[in-house]
Amino acid sequence: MAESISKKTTKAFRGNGKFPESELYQCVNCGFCLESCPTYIETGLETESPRGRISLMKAANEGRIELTDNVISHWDMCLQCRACETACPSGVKYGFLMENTKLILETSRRKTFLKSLLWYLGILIVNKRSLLYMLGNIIKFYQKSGIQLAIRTIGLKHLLPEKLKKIEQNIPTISTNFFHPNSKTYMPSSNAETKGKISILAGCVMCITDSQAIESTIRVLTRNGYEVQVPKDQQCCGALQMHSGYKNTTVELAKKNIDVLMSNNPDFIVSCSAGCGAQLKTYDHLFEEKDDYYEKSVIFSNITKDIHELLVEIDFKKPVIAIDSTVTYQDPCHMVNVQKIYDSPRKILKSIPGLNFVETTQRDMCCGAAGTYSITQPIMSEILGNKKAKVLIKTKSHIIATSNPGCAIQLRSSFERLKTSETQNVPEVNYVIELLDRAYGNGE
Amino acid sequence: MIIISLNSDKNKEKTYSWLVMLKIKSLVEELAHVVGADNVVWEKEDLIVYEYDGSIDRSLPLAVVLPGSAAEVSKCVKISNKYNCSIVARGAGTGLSGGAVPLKQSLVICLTRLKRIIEVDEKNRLSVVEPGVVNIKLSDAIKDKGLFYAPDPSSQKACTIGGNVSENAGGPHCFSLGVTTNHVLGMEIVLSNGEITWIGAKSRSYTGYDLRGAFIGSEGTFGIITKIIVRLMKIPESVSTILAAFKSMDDASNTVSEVISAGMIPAALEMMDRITIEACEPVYNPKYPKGSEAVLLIEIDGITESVKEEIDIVKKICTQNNSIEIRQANNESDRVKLWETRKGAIGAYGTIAPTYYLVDGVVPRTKLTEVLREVKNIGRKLEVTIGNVFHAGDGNIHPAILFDGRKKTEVNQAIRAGGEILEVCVKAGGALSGEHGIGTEKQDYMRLVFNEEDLRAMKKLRAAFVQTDKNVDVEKFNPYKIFPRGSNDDEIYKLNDPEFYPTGGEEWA
Repeated sequence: MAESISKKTTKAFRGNGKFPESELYQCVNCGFCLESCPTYIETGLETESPRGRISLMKAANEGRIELTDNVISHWDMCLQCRACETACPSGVKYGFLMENTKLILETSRRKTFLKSLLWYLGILIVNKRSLLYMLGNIIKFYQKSGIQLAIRTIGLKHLLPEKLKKIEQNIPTISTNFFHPNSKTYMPSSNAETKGKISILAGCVMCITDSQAIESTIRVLTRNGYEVQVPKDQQCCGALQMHSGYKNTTVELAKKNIDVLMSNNPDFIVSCSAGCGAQLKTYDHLFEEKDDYYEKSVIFSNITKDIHELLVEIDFKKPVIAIDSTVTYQDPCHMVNVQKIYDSPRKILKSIPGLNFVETTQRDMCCGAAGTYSITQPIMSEILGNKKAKVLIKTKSHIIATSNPGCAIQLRSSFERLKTSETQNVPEVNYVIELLDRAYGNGE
Repeated sequence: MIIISLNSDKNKEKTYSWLVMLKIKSLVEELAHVVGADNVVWEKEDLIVYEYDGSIDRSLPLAVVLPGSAAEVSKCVKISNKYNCSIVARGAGTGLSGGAVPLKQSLVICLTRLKRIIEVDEKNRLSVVEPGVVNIKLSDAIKDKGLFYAPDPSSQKACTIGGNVSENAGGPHCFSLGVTTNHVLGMEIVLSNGEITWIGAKSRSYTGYDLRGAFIGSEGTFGIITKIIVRLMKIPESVSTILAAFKSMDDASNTVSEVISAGMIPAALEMMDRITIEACEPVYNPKYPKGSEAVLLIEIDGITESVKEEIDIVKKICTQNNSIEIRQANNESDRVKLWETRKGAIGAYGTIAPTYYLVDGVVPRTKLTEVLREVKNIGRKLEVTIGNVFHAGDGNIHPAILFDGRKKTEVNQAIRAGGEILEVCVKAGGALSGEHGIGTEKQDYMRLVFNEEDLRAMKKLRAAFVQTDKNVDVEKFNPYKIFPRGSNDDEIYKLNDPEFYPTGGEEWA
């Protein structure tokens, strides 16, 4: 049975116009990507490198190998951080190749019943907002009621299997209040004329883990003279689904988001999460020219801005309230490698009075959060998280600023782990936009 | 070139008999006992990613082992002796001559886990590193001490120093500072019997034979390097780089000759032709002026005053030779930008064709103009696209033949073109390889330069390093490389032959 499935898949991999061959064979095997890949650096194994993964795609495409669990595990080990794309001299679209590979795998991957059930539930939760809030409430209850404390201190934890233990450690702290997109219009705070209209995509995870950052985004934008809406029926951006190979789901979500977010004719669509922003900006890649949504998606992607990018472009109001802390910025991969935004968050941080901005080393290294990666590959994720946390601690910063919920969750839990094992003061993790909001006086 | 093309039927995975499988299994188990199961790669699919390096040739290894220390390397060698299998040492696998491609179904010893910088001696300006240290990581680590490691191959962001030593790698800045052999003082090596020993030392004077010199550039055929003592250089006080675009290759080549005859030794002197420029344009977006047929990159370093003076002279020479645009970089970020295109040029060929064959000939600098013209003619005659990006200062040319490795006719044309270019180089009084090594790529052209007598002498040198016994033959390390196939000992290579087993043939079957 397994044999027949994998045979079929290799065939699917084999051209037939399905796999983008011209992009695949753009890789000339030079190996420049190796040292940009976090999993290669960690393991030293070619199988866990971008060149190795592309070679496996080529081998599958040429029918030299079957899609065994072993082969798939190497593709699954990929963070999709796309740091290799910045190192590639041939301009290989690695992220695109990986998405196509996952697409083929998803239709044919052998999964245990439990695994497929979990995947189904996971996708359902991010797709359905009500379920997401329910999960948020369950976790909140788990954390606030003392069950978590009990499990962690009494040692019940040791009864859990290794993988589950790691996942338990990574459960993010849930915000006290969730953010609900409600279509309310937030007017510019000064009485001056409105500069323009903005629709915000609030994201899904962010609404339950970092609602304060969304609120900050709204306040910062209104202070800069914009009329802001967070349309009610908006969906998840679809990044997690796309990276796991669920293209159809992603297309459906994209269609709904295009309709909902563009309903009030905004000048800009803004995201305050690097991962969501990267996905929104590539909505036009989801459709072909003959599709109804193609034109709309092109306009949509063109007016989508990352919050930091937009603020710098409109020459944001300079904050006046000092934050006397040493701060470093952690580049989310989908911010720097995909959206190519490097300077803007730094400019915002440097504009805050009193703030001592320091750079960290290994800026191009992924923190290991990478969307669902911390759940599907908890062991590698933890190794990379610890590595990143140690580098960041070396900067002696009080605050680590970032701009992506995945990174924020990962950094917090990595610092938490290091704190218990090495008992030291660890920095706080904040969003850049939160700091700017604070320096504006939190809207007061 | 051996060319095991991607689609050739011969490269279909070999099926071993159950007896051989049993032996491989037991070999893998013994290796895993030494280095840990996570550090042995043996599954059929995984071995596919170890069949290549940065070149065109491909061949599957028997297994891959990643030791974590010199002692473990030694143990792995001893185990391999027991099983009669040959060994290929591998770093990052970015080489361009097939040096790390495991022929003869060898066991690959991959040294990427040995990546510690063991010592940096600022006063004596030397450092002890493990072979898996990535070239640029060493320079990065000592930058704040005002030091750097000079050899800088274009792949320096990924290639390892161990690989550099084995191939005696060069780089743009080797024009004034010398290639790898000028920067290595000594190394710890593991011999064929598993013995760990040192050749060379921290001091620069030796008594006795300079074995270090013999070992560097031996392409892994003598033994396995496990530690390297390298010389460090002081970062020059001032560096200035200019980029000059020309409307013809001849103008650019003349500029090169004139710069050098004016008595200057630039830190680097690099040239790119139109095809290379076109390949780089979409990736790096350097926006070279329209109609540029050649671009020169000239870097001058030294004391601030003299750098200024020399740069002015260079600029004047460029203008006299009809340069259409000159750009100058005086700060680090502008310099990096100018260099980015040059260093990524080879990979950027991927925007034109899926496979490249990078020739590595050397010609006397004065013959550059005419050799380049010949290269162009060869390209026209055989109807292949040839890009040129090279170290003009050393006369080390890199014509890149661009083709599709999946198409057999194109592969054959490319190989023919490569051979003809090398013949032109040798006729002009040059050499087969400037910095990439011979490997599998150029082994069949060795006779253009050496006669049987020479080859035999080289084999004797190898035999002095590789001690043979009943289990170890002279092809123990990196077998079937460098020497031309079917040379005086009548070794008939049985590559791709499904009946062909690692050393000992019958014993395995």
